[in-house]
Amino acid sequence: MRAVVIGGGLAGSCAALELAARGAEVALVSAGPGSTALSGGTLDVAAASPLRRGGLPLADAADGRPLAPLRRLLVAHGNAAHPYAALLRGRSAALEVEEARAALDAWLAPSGLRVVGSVDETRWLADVRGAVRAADLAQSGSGEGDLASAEEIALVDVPGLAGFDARPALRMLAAELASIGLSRTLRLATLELPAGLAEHAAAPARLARRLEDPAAQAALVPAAARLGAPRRLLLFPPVLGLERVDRVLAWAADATGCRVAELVGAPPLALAGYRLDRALSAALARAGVEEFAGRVASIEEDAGRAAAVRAEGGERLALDALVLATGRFVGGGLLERDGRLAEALLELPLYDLAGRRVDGVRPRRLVRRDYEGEQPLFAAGVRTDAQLRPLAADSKPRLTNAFVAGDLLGGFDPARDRTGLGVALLSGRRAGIEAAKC
Amino acid sequence: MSRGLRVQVLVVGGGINGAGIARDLALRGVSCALVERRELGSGTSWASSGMIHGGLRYLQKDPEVTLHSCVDSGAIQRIAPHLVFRIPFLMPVFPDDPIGPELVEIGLEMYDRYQPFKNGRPHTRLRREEALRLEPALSPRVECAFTLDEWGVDAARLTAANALDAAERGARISTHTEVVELSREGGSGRVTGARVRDRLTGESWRIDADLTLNATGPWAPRLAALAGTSVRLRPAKGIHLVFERRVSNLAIYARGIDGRDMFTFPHEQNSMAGTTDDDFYGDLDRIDVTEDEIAYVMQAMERSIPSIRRHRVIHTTQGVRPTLYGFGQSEDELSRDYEVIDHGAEGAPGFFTIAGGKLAAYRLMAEDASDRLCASLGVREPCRTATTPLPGGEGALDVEALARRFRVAPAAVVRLGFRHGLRSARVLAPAEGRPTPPRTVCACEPVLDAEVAHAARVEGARTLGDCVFRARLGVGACQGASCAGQAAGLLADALDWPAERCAAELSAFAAERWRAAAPALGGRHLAAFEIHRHVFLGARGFAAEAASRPEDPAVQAEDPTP
Amino acid sequence: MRGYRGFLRELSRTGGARALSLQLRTGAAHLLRSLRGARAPDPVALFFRNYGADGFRLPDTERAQLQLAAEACLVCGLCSAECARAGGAPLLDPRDAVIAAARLEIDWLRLGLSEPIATPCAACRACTAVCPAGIPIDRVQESLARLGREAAAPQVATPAEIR
Repeated sequence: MRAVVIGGGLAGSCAALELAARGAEVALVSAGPGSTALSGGTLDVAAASPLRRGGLPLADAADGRPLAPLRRLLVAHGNAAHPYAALLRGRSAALEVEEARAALDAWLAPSGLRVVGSVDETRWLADVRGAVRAADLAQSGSGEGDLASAEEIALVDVPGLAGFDARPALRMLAAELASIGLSRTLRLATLELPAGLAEHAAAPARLARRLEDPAAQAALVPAAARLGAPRRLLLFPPVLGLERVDRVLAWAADATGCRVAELVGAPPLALAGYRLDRALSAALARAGVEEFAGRVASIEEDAGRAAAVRAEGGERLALDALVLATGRFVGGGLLERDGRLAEALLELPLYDLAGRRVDGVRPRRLVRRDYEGEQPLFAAGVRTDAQLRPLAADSKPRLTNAFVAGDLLGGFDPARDRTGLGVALLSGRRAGIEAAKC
Repeated sequence: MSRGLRVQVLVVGGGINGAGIARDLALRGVSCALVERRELGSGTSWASSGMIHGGLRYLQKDPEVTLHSCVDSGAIQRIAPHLVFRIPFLMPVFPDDPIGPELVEIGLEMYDRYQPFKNGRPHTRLRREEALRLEPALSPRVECAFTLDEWGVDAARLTAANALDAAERGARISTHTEVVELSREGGSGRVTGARVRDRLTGESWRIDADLTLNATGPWAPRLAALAGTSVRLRPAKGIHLVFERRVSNLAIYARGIDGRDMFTFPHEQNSMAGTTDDDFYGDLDRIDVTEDEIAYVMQAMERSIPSIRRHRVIHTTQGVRPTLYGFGQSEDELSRDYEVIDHGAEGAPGFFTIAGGKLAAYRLMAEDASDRLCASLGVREPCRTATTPLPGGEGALDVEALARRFRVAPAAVVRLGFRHGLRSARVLAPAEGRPTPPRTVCACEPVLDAEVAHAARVEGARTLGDCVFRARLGVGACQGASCAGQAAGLLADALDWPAERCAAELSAFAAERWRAAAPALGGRHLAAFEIHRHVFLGARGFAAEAASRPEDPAVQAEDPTP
Repeated sequence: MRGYRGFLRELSRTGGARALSLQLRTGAAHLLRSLRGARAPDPVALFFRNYGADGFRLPDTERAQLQLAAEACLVCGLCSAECARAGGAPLLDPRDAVIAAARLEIDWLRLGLSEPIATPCAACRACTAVCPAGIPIDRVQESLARLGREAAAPQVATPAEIR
């Protein structure tokens, strides 16, 4: 069975890996990184979703215990078109998520990247600005930085590092912890880079790359040793390696003598997404998925089925199953065509959160004045059936052997919901599983 | 808590006119205070085309206006050479244009006589092929073309420089401060100052002044009413579209469907297309850009540059001109002249308003207004603003030397120099001797952390939004997604902000960028705002989240079967 | 309530007459010149004599196309990350190169800076491959490096060069 996946982010990669695991011959066409590569280190399923009453986590009415994050989310989206409603209906949500986590963890582990956490446990993670978010799943690196897990927390200041100021981050962190009600000792620890490394501080990606080099690590040991203290959690800016974060983390823990983790990234300092993207690429290669770089020019159809994909380079890829994981604007799955909103490849109808049809409308008509409020333009996506087949305007599957995963799915606003990577992970696997049945 | 301040002149309004007048008065030794409701130059001044042009179109009726505009443009170049940059213009002539090339050339030959006053060059006349060689994107329908030049200016920095100079000479400048009420003397109705309120701290105090000047631009009628007087304006809205980067190094004339002249011109890092001129009856604090306006501008631009729609528009500017009232003419025909009004005859002696005018004439207007005020005060000092350099304008900056001394990229020093001139060394000075050199905060300019810190510690910037005007933070491709967080941290350090303040500032900043960008959202800019929302909404911390969502009604829904 | 308007208003009362006289004089001179057939010998060269010092050069179609492509930049920094992974250390970080390309094109020339803007990088194209916006970043770097070399040579637009 031959499958083609369009889009190489978390959703498309998971679909391709599931297909390969089920014996399909998989080709993945990707025009380049999308929103996956821009993520900061968390893989939010539900914990970061902003469902709070008066700033405190919600409590279960019956017994006053905080509602587990996923249940909170399902409560809020009980009747909405959020992809979770279809993905997790009739199944034990927590189990489904744990299965997905374990699968992704297994795929990424050979690259040194792990997926830690669980949907029933909330970790409190700090980012490079000192802001704190609840997280359930996270990449290793930032995942180990649960603020609740240590008595003393020290932010590591790296003088001259572009994109990170430790002092204001520390102040912000102190205030955030106070708001949450987590009382912790906070410290600032300064890591003076030796001459050969200091010049890279202005280009964090280069510094991260150099830190993977054993010679650089050796030169840094004396300075690193001064950072450690008993019962302390050291939070570094996210420059602990460009790809092999496991090795650099291990070295740092060894050199400092205490627990280490990374702060969650934020532009311009957000390498975790890049690591995830690279690790997914490596996993695809190991699974024998054939990767084609470039855009898809067209999809050939035949009697209600997708028959082949034509790449811009001219290749024609015949297929038995198709997965569309092209994302939204960053990924290129949605775009403005002739002045109007459109889905890029199949002209699928697009819907906003209220169920209104929004393809063919000028983008300007789909935005609202209130930045923080609902924006139909940024909640637009494709409607699917329970098997993730995209629906045509008549609510029937557009093609019997095509499936959609990731941000291209409608029914949610990834920036406000904060469930983007959770949806990508769960829908990517599901699309792959369903596609494998073709 | 109340404190009092006693000055000779209270200037209300911190746009280019208010700041220019405060500077003029300060240079004459007159004590003054200036209050501005938002940030210096953030109103009409910011929304202007940012050009100190010579008034080419007044040649038809008022060549004296042209003469004085050109002379004053020259003066501004002398006192602030770092803030101005030359913009050559290309004026294409198409077969269906109402005015033929010969008449156009006569007009330009007339203008040539005035060019020397503002270091302008004489025009050239190009044949079709020559014009297309100079600007390949020009419409092939062009018959012939002419070149001339004007000078562009960073209006916000020009305003800030005037205010800075005034402050250094003793003036008291307060931003984010509004007038709550004007103080009146019982019997005579004389205006003796105002009660003002700091909008950020809530603190209020009294300013006693011999004279009060209303320099609030289009808001002038509102303030005048507080004194029981009236100012009649015919407010006119103007918008620009801002492109992600320069689409050409030449400014190109484009004629609107109604025959109006507009241009796409390079300005600082970007190109701008505009402007419009429409009677405005709406809310001055909530000026929106409409689809029609954008369509009108783009239609005009397309006639001169057929490929213009391919370029990415990243935001818009919008403002309202405080045009003097005139009945019966179209907006373009109205005078750009100005008036200094003495409200004594209306029963409010001691209260003056300056209305009308244009950015290019600010210095002249300020001189005139200051002359009037000084006459009233019995002060006999002459005006020195045309010959005294503005801060930073005292001489040319050695970019490479500064770059080497402070270990920053020359490209960063170049941009710093455009905003601070010779004062750039002062901006970078705190970083000297530190183990690490200044870092870039905003890649689009670039803006260095030293400049943001300087804006807060030295120049009196008080909010993240202020840095947009002071340092052009976040006005490029990313609209703040990559730089606002870090800048907020720097300001928090410099101004001792608690975390909630930081979060509120970021929220307000993001909303303001959205407000300006949303009307023109489309094409390749959609992805930028997908990222923008992830940064400002998706990555918000706990405190920011709690502040913005006090009660979530969705929680009331029933718990579905897991 | 009209107050004192200053010399501009006073003068503008006589403006109409002055304007007309200026227009007639200029028009007559223009007519005479046209009849004589006088025309500036090389207007484009004249343009560059006028504005060359401000950094203006003849536009370059290839550069213009690169700038158009570069407009799509999302300031995401993936190019910098990929460049670092490939072991590159160009003078100008790829992200900065893309953002700054249009401005550098004119500022460098205007100021006659002698420092190189960009070093020609290894041209491994890792940056171009990873860019979500599809910008040919390696070509942008190369264009800027070339610009630096051009900046060192003053622009004199000779007729031969233009025709």
